[in-house]
Amino acid sequence: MKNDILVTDTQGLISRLRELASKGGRLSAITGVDLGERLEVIYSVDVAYTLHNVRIEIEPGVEHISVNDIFNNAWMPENELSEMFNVKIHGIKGQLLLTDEDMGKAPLLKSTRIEVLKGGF
Amino acid sequence: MTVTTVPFGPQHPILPEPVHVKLELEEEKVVGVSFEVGYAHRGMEKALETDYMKGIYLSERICGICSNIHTTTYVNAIEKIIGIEAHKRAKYIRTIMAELERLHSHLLWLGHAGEAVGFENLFMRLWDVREIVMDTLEFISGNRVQYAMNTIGGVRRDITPKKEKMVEDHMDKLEEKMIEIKRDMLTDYLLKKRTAGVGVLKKEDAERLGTVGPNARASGVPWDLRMTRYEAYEYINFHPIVLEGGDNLSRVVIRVEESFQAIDIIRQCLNQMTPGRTWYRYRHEVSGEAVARTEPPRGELFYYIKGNGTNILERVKIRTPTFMNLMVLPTILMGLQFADVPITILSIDPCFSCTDR
Amino acid sequence: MLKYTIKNIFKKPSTVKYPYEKRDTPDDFRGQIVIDVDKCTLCHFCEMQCAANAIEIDKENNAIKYKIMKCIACGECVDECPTEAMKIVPQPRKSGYDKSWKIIKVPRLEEKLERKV
Repeated sequence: MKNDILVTDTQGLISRLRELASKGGRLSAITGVDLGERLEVIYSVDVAYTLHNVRIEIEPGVEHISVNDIFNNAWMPENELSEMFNVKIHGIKGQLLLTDEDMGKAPLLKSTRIEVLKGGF
Repeated sequence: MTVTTVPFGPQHPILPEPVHVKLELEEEKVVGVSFEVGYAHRGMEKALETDYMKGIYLSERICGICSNIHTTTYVNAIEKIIGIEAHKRAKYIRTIMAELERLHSHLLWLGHAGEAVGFENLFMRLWDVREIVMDTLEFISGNRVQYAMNTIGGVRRDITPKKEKMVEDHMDKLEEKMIEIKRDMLTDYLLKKRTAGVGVLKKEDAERLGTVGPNARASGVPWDLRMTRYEAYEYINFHPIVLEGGDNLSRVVIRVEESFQAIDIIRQCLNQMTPGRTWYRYRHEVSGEAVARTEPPRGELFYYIKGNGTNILERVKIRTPTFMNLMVLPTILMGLQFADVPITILSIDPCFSCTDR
Repeated sequence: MLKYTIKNIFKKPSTVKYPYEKRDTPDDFRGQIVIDVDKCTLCHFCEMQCAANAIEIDKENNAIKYKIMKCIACGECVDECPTEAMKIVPQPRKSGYDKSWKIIKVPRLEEKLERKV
């Protein structure tokens, strides 16, 4: 995609996002993509109608940082990322759309199978 | 001072869809707000990992009010991955459908807002006038909601010259009735008294919290994604409407003005359309990733699609406008009287089926 | 506002009292799907394209299973069918309780040739 920025560690991520926020950027979305072994997180920031995508790959068991100090509207997308992919994020509770019984099941990972119930028509 | 917790529960006569807002009150003034969503979660992002042609019909059924713009954005993202562009006449028809949808969504919201402040006569008049828009949509596409008009590369039904004449007549009739309603609505003493100065969203807060859509434009932030000139907006002359103020009355006035602007855009499209092809059908493999963004009636819609070389998609990510607008609620509800809470929650135009997917 | 209220007393109401009165539907309204069995060749194209998985083709028994309660009348099967055996008609579907499938028998090629001769 155009305007892709690849970072390799969390220090680089924070410095890139601070730079985009100082230019007047607005956080548009936080996307998680399951690549099998690792998980890719894409932060999409909009600066004057141009979209910049900052991409980072993280390990499944490691705790990730929160960017709520840089962009104050990041806590809802981070809650959704945390419950759908089983990622622990520092300082975020991690429950938005799923009920208490379904927490921990990580529906959007490739290894989770959804059953189609028989008995319908 | 004792603090009472009152639930603005999932079921309320004002709300079109369920949400749970917990209010903490101290002598009828609001001192704390927190909310929970998820009552209409259906797992659409997992269900869209299927054949990409069948996904067009599934993405339409995420929301009932803004259904056509979801398919337009989905189809735009897939067209970017494949590398094709729609025919010019198809772009004009997609723009006409998007503006007709903006009209019917704003008229629906204005009726709800009238009911929330107790002005039920306005609700009856506006929903009667809205039937003209629904009849127009039915004659063009065959359905009143969920139109099934879009496909990869164009639209599936054409607008014949007889239908073009009918759309123009309907728009003239609609504009004449809406001018009378606007005059009666904005000179009303009670509506102004209940909504002016209540629920103020300042410009710095709107920029800091990333608000989108008419909520941001009513607070002085000139943000409109139609200025990226997608679809047929590159041939049309229009500018976004921006108001200062940021209170509930500004959010009512901006939706009235945007309805008149939508009628003007439809007339420009009908004047500029030339005869031509509208669609063609062929098969492609989807391999790669792309992002598409458009402007539904409530803000900015974001679709990210990734394909892996077969006809089954790998990841579809949808970020709807109400998902970002909801985070404004703790700021605008602080310090209000308890009786002003329903109209303030309704004034950001929430659509919770889009939020929960 | 007062002028509108007084004019409104003498107008008739704008509600259509369904089912005693009915509106006219336009000519290309999405009502229901009708299958012409003489033209069908059981080629599976409509089954592959159906967005709601409402058609199943059974080649051994020469039958089409049409799940009428699942159909959303989108018209993809009408656009796909190479022999134009599917048509969309503007009569609206009636509501009901019966969720069973409709099994339509398609005559075999020998029977069609016998009839022509």
